[in-house]
Amino acid sequence: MGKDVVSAETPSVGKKAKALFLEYGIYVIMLLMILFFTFKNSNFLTINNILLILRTSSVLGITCVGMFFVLIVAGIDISVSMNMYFSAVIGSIILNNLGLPLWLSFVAATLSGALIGIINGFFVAYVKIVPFIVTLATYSVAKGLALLFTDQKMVFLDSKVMTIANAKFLGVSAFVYIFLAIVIIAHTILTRTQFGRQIYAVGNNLVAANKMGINGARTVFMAYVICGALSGFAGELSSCNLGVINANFAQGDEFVVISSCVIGGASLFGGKGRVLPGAIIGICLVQAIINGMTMMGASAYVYTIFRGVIIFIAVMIDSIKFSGEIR
Amino acid sequence: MSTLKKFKSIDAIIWFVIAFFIFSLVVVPGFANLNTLSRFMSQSSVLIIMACGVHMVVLNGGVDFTSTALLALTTVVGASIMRTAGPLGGSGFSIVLALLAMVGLGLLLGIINGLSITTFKMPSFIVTMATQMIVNGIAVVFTGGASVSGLPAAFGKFKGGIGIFPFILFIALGVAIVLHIITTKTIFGRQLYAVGTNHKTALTSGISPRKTIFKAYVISGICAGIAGIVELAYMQSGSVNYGSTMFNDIMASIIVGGTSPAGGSGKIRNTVLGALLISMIDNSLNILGVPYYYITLIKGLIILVAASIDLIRIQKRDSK
Repeated sequence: MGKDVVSAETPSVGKKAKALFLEYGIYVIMLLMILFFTFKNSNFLTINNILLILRTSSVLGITCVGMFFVLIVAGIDISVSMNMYFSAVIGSIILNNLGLPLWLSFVAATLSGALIGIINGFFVAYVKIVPFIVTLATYSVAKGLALLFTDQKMVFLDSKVMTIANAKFLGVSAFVYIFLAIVIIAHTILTRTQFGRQIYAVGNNLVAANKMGINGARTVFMAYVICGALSGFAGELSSCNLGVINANFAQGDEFVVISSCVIGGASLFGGKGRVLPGAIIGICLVQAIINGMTMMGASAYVYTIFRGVIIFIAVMIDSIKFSGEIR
Repeated sequence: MSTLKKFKSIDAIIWFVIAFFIFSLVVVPGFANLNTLSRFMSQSSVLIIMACGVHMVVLNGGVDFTSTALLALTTVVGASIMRTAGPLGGSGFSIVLALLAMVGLGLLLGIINGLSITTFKMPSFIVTMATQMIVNGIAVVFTGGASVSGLPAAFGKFKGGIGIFPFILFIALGVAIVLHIITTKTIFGRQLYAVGTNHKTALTSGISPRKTIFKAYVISGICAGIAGIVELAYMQSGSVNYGSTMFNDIMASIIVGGTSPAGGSGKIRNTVLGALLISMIDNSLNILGVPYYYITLIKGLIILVAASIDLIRIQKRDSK
């Protein structure tokens, strides 16, 4: 990665080039891929396809916003995908079995997502177990609960969901506006409030933040709760988008979300990242490439390999930029 | 008094294993049957090897998600080589070649993971998740998703055993004993604990954390290759689905055995017992007809509870 550039005669230029590559390299690679798709397939860069990419990005983008909070406090949440599954199932029970209005199913899904977030936050912040172990465990718990409530069957949602799935304003899906609103709220919280500044402080240096009088444990806890609640909301939105919840619902989405966040400027080492525009850029780039690969007729397995490669490169660049201890 | 102390020094996990074993013998119909016990020992062999391999990495506070995908890839690659090694296909030579290739694949992935983690300083769980996806994708592309069967008859003998004790159980115990000796009796073993406890202190006392961590990932990769051999011997076919839901079992075995996921402490012996406990829970609940989702749920809860108990114990000890 950029080593031939470093060997240039003037080291200062080389170093600058390396820094430039680390900062923008991933964007250049991804834009080149998008250009490639544009030339290969005339349907790729059409208004309809761009609108479709924006729409699919919006759903997972909301989870990305939540993941930003967790990543900034130097945590990780692997459970987001199964959290989405579990919350969507709870939403479907409200909608199908109890026949309650659509907005209540959103409330219920957000609350059940927040519940998983509370469990994650409690064990990470107060019991102090390593985040990926906690969220790996809640991943199984949420998956088990979702399968239990659906009895391992497919759930077809009530036709009420079409009101939101088909809602459009100025030709753009309502999903996009919801995503943008959440991004702006999250950005305001992170940059304009005391709580937001505390989140960055805790992510940069937990010990120092505690000494300054910040309640570090509570801040970390809240970050996981926010991530859980947003995942729950995104799960419900995703189920409205698909109209059906099957056993593969949201499977593997945690990788898409984490890599999008890292591409969008968050660091796995904490303390870094801006939701506006990071979350939007990250998820849109990744979804555009997934969309392009699907159009090229790439098999689902090649797409799995690609996801692995993308997350590997993104994290490698993030790690080279960060000079710290091996974890 | 000394007997009481000795009694206290035995780790709690052994009592859980004995208690659950007795429970299964009494409550689970058909568990106290030589065939069931033999099958149980075969099934736990794979988990023991995988858990012991990942245990080495967890001692550093790391984790190795790749191992499960590697298990699947090595079985399909091994099975394919055994079936079609040119004119020598099906002979003893093709079997040896396949076994070498399987361990070699594990070694290769171990090196890739180790290098990424030590030279680029990437967080282990993300690196190994990425390589897990890549390895899994390669395995599916390699086979098209179908399982590979029709192995040479000579390899079928590996499925046998002495009495009710399957051969593969001895391989698993062999791996465990070797790793036990490595962790307790060698300099490398002590370095492993030192690096896991405190990276900086280890560095200042002349240990190279890079080399130590690198070796741990290589061992974990090789163990996944050996586990692939054992799985192939037991199932007599290769499939991309092997190990796909095993990762929770691996982590549960290690954590239930009292190894801290933050690194620095843990015994191979207890991880073996943990693997036995988890396989026993899996087996017994399956025979009792408990649905899959309850088992998933229970395993998730086991990880959370075991990790909490471990941390609370450490905090109590430190506050004394």
